[in-house]
Amino acid sequence: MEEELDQNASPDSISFGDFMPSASLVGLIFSVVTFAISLAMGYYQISSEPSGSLLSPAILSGTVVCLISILAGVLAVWHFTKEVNPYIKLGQGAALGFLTGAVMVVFTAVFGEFWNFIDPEYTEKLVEATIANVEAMDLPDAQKQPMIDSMADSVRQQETFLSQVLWGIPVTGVLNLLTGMIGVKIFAKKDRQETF
Amino acid sequence: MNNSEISSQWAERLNTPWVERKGFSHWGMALLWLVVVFVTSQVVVALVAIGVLFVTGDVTNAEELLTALETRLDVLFIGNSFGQIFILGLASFIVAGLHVGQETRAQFLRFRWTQETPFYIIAGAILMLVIQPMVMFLGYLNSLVPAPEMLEEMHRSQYQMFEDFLTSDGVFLIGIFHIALVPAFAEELLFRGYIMRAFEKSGGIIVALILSSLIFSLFHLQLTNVLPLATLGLVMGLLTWLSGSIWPAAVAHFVNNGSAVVMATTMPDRAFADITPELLPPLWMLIGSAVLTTILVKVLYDKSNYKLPA
Repeated sequence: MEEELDQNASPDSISFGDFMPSASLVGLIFSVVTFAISLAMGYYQISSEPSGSLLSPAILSGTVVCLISILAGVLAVWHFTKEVNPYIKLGQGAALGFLTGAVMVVFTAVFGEFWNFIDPEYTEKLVEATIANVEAMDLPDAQKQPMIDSMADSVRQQETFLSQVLWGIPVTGVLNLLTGMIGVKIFAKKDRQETF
Repeated sequence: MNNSEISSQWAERLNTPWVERKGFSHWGMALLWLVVVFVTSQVVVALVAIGVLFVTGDVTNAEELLTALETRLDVLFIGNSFGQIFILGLASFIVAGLHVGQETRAQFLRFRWTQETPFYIIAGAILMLVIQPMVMFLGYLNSLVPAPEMLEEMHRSQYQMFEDFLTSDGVFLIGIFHIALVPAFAEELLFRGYIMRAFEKSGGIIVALILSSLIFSLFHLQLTNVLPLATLGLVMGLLTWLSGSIWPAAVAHFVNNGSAVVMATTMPDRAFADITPELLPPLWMLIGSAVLTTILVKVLYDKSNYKLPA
C-alpha cells in the first residue's frame, strides 16, 4: 500500500480536504486522552485534602495535558504520510498541525459541555477545591485574596465552551502547527523534484 | 534530464518564493509571523526594560524590579521602541524575504520612491488631519458597543499609562520619538509593507486592505477602539496601494500619532477625556470630514495607476 501511495503521490496534489481524516482521527484521540487526564486530576483535587502546594493536581494536569497536546501535530503528520501522501511539504504539515490542534480543542470543549450534564457541580467543586488549596498556602493574607480571585476566574473561564474555543484554538493550534512542521522533517519523504 | 533542463528547473525554483516552495500560503505565513511578532516583541520589551533598570542601578532586587516595571514608564517606552524597531521592523524585513521570488525584498515591501511619492505624502498627511472628526465619531460609536470588563480595564490602564507619561515634564520630543516616529515606520513596515502584501498575494487587494486593517486594529489590543483604528488602517492601506509606496502611509501614521502627542501634551484634559456626545465635533464638521475624506480618496484613486478589479 505504501508503495502504491509512493507512486501516485505528489505534494502538489494535496488539498485541504485530504487533511481531514488525519486531523479528525488524531484530534479526537488526543482530546479523549487529555480530557480524561484533566478530569481525573480535577476529581483527585476535589476529593483530596488541600495541600497548600503550588503544584496542585489541577495545575499539574494543565502542564501534562499541554505537553501531550503538542504531540498531536507530529502524530497527525505521521498518520498522513502513512495513509494519504508521504510527500507532504513543510507548510502543509503546519496547516495539518494547526487543524489537528483546532479539532482537538473543539472536541475537548464538546466533552466539557457533555460532562456538565453528567456532573453539573464539577466546575464549582473544582473552584472550591482550588480556593481551599490557595487558602492552605503559607502566604500573607494580602497576597492570598487576589490569587484566589484570579485562580477561581481562571478555572471558571476554562470550563466555558466559548472561552475554551476562543483561546484554545489559537494557542493549541499554533503549538501543533510547530510540531506539525517537526513531523514533516521526521516522517515526510523528500519531494522527488527536489532531489537533484 | 539534460543540463539545460536542470538549469531551467533551478531558475524556476529560485524565482518561486520560499513559502510557495515549502507549501505555505502567503497569508498563513503572515499570520504565523504575526503570532511570533506578538510574543517576541512582548519578551523584548520586558528584557530591555529589565536590562535598563539593572544596568542603570535603579533596581537591585526582584521586589524593586516589579514595582519599577509598573511605575517606570520611560523604561517601558524604551523597551517598546526596541521591540518595534527590531521585531516589527527589522525582523519583518528579513522574514519578507521568504515571500519574494523574482522581486526584491524592498520591492515586495513597497520601499519605493517615485516622482509621484511627494504628492501622496502631502495628500496622505492632509487626509489624516481631515479624517480626525470622523475617527472621533467612530471612537464614540465603538464605545457604545459593550465590551468585556477585562478588556475595558486593559484599555483604561493603557490610556492611563499614556496620560501619566505624556503629562510629565519635558517629554514632548521623547513622546514624539516613542509614540509617533518609531511606530510610524515599524508598524507600517509590518502591517502595510509585509502583512498587506502577503494577503494581497493570496487573495487580492480588497481582501488585503480589509484584513490588514482589521489585524492592525486588533494588534493594538484595544477592542474598545477597533473601529477608529481599523478605519485609519484602511486609509493607510489605501495610501500604500494607490501610491505603490510605503512612505506616504508612514508619514500619515506619523502625522496621526504625532498630532495625538501634541494634543496630549498641550490639552491633556481634552485628549484623555472619555468620549461623550458633548465632546464630539459638531455635525457640520463630521459631514465636512466625511465629504472631504471621500473627495481626497477619490482624487488619489483617479491619479493612481492601480485600479480595483472590475
